Amino acid sequence: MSTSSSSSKKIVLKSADNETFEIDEIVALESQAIKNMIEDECADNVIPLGNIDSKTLSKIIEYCKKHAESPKKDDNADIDEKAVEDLKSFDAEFAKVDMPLIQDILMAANFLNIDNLIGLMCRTIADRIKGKTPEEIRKILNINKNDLLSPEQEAKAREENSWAFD
Amino acid sequence: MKKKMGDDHTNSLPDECLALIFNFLTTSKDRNNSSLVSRRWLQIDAQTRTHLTLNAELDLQPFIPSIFTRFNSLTQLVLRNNVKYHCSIEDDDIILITSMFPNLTRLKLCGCDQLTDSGMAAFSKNCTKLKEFSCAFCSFSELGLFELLDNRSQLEVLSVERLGFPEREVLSSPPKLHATKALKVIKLKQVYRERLFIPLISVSKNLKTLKLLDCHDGYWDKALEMIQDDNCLTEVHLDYVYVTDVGVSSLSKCRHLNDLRIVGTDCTNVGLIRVAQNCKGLKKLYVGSGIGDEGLIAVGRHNVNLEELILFSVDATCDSLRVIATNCQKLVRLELCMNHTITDNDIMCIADNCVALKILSLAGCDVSNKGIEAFALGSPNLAEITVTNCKKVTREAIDRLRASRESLVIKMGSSKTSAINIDN
Repeated sequence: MSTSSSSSKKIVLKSADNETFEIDEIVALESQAIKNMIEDECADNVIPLGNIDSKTLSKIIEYCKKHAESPKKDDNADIDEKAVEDLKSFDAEFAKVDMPLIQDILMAANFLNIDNLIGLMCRTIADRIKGKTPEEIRKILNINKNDLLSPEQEAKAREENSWAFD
Repeated sequence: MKKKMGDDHTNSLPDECLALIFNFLTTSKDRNNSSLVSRRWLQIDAQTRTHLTLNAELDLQPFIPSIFTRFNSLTQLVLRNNVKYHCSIEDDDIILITSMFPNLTRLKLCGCDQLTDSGMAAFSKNCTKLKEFSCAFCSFSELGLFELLDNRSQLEVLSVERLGFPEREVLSSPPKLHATKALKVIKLKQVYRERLFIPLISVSKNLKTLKLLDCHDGYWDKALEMIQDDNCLTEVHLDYVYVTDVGVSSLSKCRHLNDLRIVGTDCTNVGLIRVAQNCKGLKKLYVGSGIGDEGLIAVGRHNVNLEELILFSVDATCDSLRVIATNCQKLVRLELCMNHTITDNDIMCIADNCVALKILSLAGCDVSNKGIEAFALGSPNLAEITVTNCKKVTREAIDRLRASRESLVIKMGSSKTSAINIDN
């Protein structure tokens, strides 16, 4: 794990609003998409991310840094439980942001192909809509009213749903 | 990704992300609510529901085509009807449903009281990829059930609770069974025509788990006797089943047995000794009344790899417990329930000798404060102790134990039921 070594290779990410972030290559490799770019040698030193704003990008870097520093599960079968716990509580804290940012992070993580982060964001969204009515879910996620079910469609779906239980 | 406030972010979330979110919504209620959010959500919810539990009463009939067209990715289906109040769906319905899902891997039928053996025969042909089938309180009989087990069957788990009566007399000419290579687990509850299952148990060469529960009638010894020598059974549970020492003794040919449970049977020390002597790999053992010191001494001598031991209403004294405590040094879990012959001396012997012990449960035993307080120093790895219905153990003794071993989880109960988890 060479996270603090100053001689390690650096990568520069540039956000949609032209802010640049210099990070260790090992942190950038958390993103499968960037990893592929580096491996295919089609990445310059500066990687422009035209669809990710700086607020979202800095959150993503915070996440990747932490996860790059932590020992990987498949590296070592008996990594100490403390490291796992530590990462868990980091993730829990990390997800405590508002819904628009969560969705921005999810979309960016999906673009950058960071599996763990995609999972974390999806789980967070799921947790927030559990036990909620359709109307409450629309409000929480600010869902476009153009795509609502017609009254007939809704009645049919409700009728079918009433047969499904746990 | 710059957006004005008020934009619908989920419209830009790719379908695969929305699908992932749905995967974290595991209850039908949450899935049902999500499906009503928007047209897109309705569609993605339907595509990603692989498990469905449906109320299978007869009134479901008119909705079958639309429900099963909507949820077109199902691999696991539970159809549950409450026989007290309703008749269930019928043969044609289940034939239709299974014809729509050739990839069904798990099917569970509860209270389907309108299904016949010929119906089973027809829909079994649709279920060639089925890995797990369970049924409870359905109306078809063994005749229909065995239709699932032809030689192409990939069925691994078969779980049956109470069957209906066969359409024809079957005991004189039982249905032909093919060798089923895939079958690994057979669980039978309240099944009484044991003669029909004996060949199945015998031909299932790769069977790992056999659980018989509440099969009071029938002569199940024969089923155990018919198990072949080259079997690979690792788990055998006999709970309230009519078996004697003859049947239990024949389990001694199960070289790979590591989990054995014999409760509410006619088995005595004789059967247990045979098993203990031959099945040296035993890791979990749960025995009930009928067993005493002689059998348990054999366990202590031969089953030195034992990790979990549960004694329910056995006549054990310090004679056998001492052997087990000294020899079975891997024992991590010990539950003693309703063993009136177990006293403080036995418990102190456990505390002194069972070094690996992590979980101890005492229920309805004749143990006093003296026995409990032995754990202030004994069994250094003990993490949890449960004391239920031991009248001579006082709250003060528990408090003293708590004070001397802070990390120990101590549970005290007074309920009549045992602390033992009867898991089937």
